[in-house]
Amino acid sequence: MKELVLFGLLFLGPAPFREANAAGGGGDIVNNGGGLAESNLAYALGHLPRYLERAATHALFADAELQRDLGAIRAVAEAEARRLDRVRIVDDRALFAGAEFLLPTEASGFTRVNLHALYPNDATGATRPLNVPQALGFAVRLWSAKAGLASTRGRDLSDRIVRYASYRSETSAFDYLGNCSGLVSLLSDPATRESLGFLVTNDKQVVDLLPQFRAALRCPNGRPAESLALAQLRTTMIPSSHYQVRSSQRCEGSWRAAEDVFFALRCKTDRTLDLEQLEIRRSAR
Amino acid sequence: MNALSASLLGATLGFASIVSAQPRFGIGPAPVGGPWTAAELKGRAATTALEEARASFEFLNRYASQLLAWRLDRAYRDNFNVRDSEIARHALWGPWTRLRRDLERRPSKLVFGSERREPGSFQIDGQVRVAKTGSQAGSPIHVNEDLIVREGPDGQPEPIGWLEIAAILVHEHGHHLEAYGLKPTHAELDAHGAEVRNFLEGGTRVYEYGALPPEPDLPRAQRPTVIVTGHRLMAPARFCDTRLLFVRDAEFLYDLSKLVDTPSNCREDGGFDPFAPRHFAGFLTTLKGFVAAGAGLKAEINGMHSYSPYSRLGLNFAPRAGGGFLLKDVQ
Repeated sequence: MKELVLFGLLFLGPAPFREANAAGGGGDIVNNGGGLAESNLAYALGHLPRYLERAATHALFADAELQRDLGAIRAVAEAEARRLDRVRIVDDRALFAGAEFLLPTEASGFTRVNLHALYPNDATGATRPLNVPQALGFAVRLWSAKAGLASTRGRDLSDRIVRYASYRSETSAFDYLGNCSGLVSLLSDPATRESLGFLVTNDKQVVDLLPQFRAALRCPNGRPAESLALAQLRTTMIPSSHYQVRSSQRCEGSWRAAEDVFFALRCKTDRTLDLEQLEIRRSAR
Repeated sequence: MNALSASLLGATLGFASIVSAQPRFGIGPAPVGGPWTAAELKGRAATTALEEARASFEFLNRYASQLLAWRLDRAYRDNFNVRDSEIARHALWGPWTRLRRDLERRPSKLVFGSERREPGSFQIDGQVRVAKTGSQAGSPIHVNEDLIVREGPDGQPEPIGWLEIAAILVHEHGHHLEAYGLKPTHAELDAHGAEVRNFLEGGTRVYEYGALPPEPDLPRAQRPTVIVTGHRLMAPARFCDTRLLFVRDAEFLYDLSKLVDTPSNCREDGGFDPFAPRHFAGFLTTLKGFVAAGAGLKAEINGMHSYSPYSRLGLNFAPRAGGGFLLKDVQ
């Protein structure tokens, strides 16, 4: 069978955010899935402008007032995405007194995020880290406060972003023989079904593999696809290091029929999920 | 034309349609398994999320014995360390096998109830459970309807995934081991269920028409869906390949697994027979996707096994008045 094998190197998540948090006392709150919500928030803060830009064209944000709010948050999000070292996650219940975050009182200060707000309890009382759509919602609440919007407006926008990002999101857990674990999440535009992010996380970082998929899944003419839509993510074998996803590309203005794409993740010798190497294999047509 | 499709087509012609609202199936002296009664292949109502969830439970419960066998799959064992292999070997010859054998003779009955309608009926140790059962093989399994439907990402109710259902059934059937001298804890059974779920996911393809462009953006409930589980691996206690084929249209859920089953060289009691001939190739089920066929759709499943080099099963869908598609016939 003719197969196309490609390897891609990934860019890691926003390093200053992680370093700042290592120094600032952030970290995991539970043994299970520790650090995941922090990683998801780091991704959300770094990528929020892109999500806001796409969401602005969606029916969920059609209202003129929402558009104005969205614009205000986007301006803040864009500025803040360039200085994520000014955000710190802090474990101090007394300091926050129930608040999700504290904004800096002076320009040079840190934005402090309440660690416990990133691990809310679900209906059964269990602690659950924020997933990526929820982290995007958290980021919207954070920057809407900084943009000076009323908290009710911020919450409304936050709920809409969570719905926007989770409408076509899929998640699959990765657990390689108990050696290393992580999560694979696929986020897609609810209206166009185009992929917005293909996120792989271990306990420390979140990386977006979508650029690697774009590079691997080119059009027949060799050019990158104008749009890429991925769906129906699932593992293909035990151990679950191999995944399958259905892919459709838009080439020269029209969508091509969906095809199966396979990819594999690896564990490193230190028993963490390797986020730097990815093998994407496209099944022959 | 290969033997499978020829006989299925012949049977289709010789067999009147089952029910007017139901599609026509090729039922008859097929070379594989069979013959089956119309009732066995008939679809179950799946217009609402709850109906679909119930039908999924009923269908998967038919294969409870195989679900338990997958827990012990050969490849699965090979991939695990010696300690796990010992556990698997023990289980293979021990209570798990006896439970499986009993289940093949007498499947557990499913009883659907609701914690909301009858408070306390699904509470165990202060927690509301999704299902509960007794400790004998064949004890009815009570399923809590409140927890088998959830809100989907579009705000509409949707059934829990069928792999989750498989895990629940493995958990509940695990409680029946008590009759054979084993008493696994809830945590152990959750782990068994998760293993089966992972294993099933590994061999499963789900094809939904309408999930990706250029297909029309259909609501989830209206997407024709083909779920194929095909393992080239051997289920140890049966020692032959097993596979499932479920099809969903806008109104019904169908279990067409029997149409893709190979002749059984395994012992019918499910016993382990090392001298039984093995199916090496198995039925490698694949589906390239849906193609437009006139106003309708066609899905084609290809496969091969050790007897015929190539088999093909065509699923024809016709447009439905209220939107979506209905399964029209199987060739």
